[in-house]
Amino acid sequence: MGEGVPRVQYLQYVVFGLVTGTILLLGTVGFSMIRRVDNFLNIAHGQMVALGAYLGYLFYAMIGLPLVVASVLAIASTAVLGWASHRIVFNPIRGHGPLYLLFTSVGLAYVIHGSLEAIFGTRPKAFILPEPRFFSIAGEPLVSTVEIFIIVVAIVSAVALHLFLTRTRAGMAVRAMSSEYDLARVRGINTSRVAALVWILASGLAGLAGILMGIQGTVYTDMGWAIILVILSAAVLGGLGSIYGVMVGAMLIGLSMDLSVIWLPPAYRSAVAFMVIMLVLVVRPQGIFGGVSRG
Amino acid sequence: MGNLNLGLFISGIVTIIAIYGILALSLNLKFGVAGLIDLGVVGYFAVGAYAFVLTTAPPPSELSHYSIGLGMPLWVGFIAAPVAAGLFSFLVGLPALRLSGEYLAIATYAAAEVLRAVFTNEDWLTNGVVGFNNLRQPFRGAFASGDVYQYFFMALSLAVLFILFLILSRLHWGPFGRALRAIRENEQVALSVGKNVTKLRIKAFVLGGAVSGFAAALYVSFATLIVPTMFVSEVTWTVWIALVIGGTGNYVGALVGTAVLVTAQELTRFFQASADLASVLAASRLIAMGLILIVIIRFRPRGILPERHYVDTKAVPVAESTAQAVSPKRVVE
Repeated sequence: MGEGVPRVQYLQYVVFGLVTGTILLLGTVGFSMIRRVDNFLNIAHGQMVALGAYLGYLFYAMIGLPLVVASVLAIASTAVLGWASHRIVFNPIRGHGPLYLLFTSVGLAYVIHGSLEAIFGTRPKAFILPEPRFFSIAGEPLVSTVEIFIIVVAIVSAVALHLFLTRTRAGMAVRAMSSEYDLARVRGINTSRVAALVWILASGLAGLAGILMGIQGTVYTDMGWAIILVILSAAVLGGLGSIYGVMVGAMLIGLSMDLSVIWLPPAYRSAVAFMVIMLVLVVRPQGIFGGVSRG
Repeated sequence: MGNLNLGLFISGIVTIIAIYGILALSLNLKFGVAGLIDLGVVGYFAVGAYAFVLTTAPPPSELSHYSIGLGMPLWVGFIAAPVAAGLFSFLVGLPALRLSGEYLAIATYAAAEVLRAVFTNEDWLTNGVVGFNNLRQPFRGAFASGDVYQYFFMALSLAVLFILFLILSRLHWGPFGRALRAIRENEQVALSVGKNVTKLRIKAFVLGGAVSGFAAALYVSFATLIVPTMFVSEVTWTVWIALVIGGTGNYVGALVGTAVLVTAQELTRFFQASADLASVLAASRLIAMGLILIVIIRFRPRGILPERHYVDTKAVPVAESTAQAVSPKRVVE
């Protein structure tokens, strides 16, 4: 495959990889925060991404609101639904242990998946956006305005999350609780309030990731299952539950998936992510940045 | 619907229960008994299914894309399926069983997904998305009527299920099952009395994989076709949900859970009316499956038929606190 491809096209794959990576980052950070605070793998998190995408489609393409308003509404509704899932579904069975929480999240994932299918049908949907402009190098289109928009939005969100976690009291409480649950509790942190905040943030970020996926490609009912596998890969690569590690993990997975297209048939794009996890798990199960703290 | 249709409909459901029941037995050995969280159930199942088809399919013609078709008798396929599924389990288990808890879960999930990508994309092996159609069925020639054959096939599936159930139950109460349960409850103690933990785990994993190979051979014979889309992660989740509903650690429970889940799912097919409604019904099947799982875990976390304990657990209250964090919570009654 490599021979006939012009050089610029390699750069284009890098751009695709950055877009995939930044979207994945938004999805994975929330997954990881929930893993740290409630100590289980939330399979339904992928469906939160799908939910954000469908709600964005509903508000933007079906109701006809401006994109920004539609996105804010979709993110807010996803955040509220995520919080509700925490209160109604997960909190009552906290004591059952991580495995039962995981299976409950699978149950919830099916409920959300089925509901999306019942309401919106199985046909894929697309956000209809104004034709993007392309910036070219040597006559080859390199990056579109849409791609720049996605990358900028994702980076701004990641930086905002970082500032929130390091500069605000609430953010520090989240970090304290995710590294030492009992200690945080003893020191007077209201753990149930912080947990609620984590679920709102995580689900909101997942909703944003879903909207960006919708803007970049199509919205389809299986997307929640597809994305959760890639989220798992990124989370394992970065070290399950480490908030900053998974950001790097997500970028690496995104880049390796899109760059793999240079050597492998494109159909193997997501399989590359899973091969990365298997390798990491066998060679360095604590993830590339894990190892110091728990997880 | 006429009476005959109803009979066939029910025999179809029972056949599917038997096939999924075999998968539930296999998972119960791996998780319920040995405590291994395997989310790659569909992977060994798919390997077994393709092994069955490739050994028994006719040699490729010029029109087809696949290049292996050994055209062997069906009984060879019924041996090849569990052998291949067991071998693949060994390949996955050798590195993956070094991991514990949720890491094992992720690794096995990933392995099954990579395998699905391979089966979807390698046309020379699987004939691509077209797959194989009109597969031969065991003893089909002996029956003139297709309806009667379907009842026979149900009996055959139940017989295979029953034999595997007997073998696994026997192992469960023998030294092998006891050692596995000991490892599940407390690995250090099992090690200290000289149990080879790694070897026993691999054995359970490979045996479980091989058992699912039988289910695979029956499944493709029943469907008479094979395409890569039959092997999505929904199969894995269905088996897990059946096991959790029924009660982990109990082979009868695994079968009860399968029967409940499959019946609930298949009954909704009864109501198929218009095309519009059909897609909503398909969606509601997913919602129902999810809700059943959530409700069972909430109100009956140990399943309909929980594991039986023959040791008086009251006498050893320490056991509760030493149970591993990831292993299911065992309530002392």
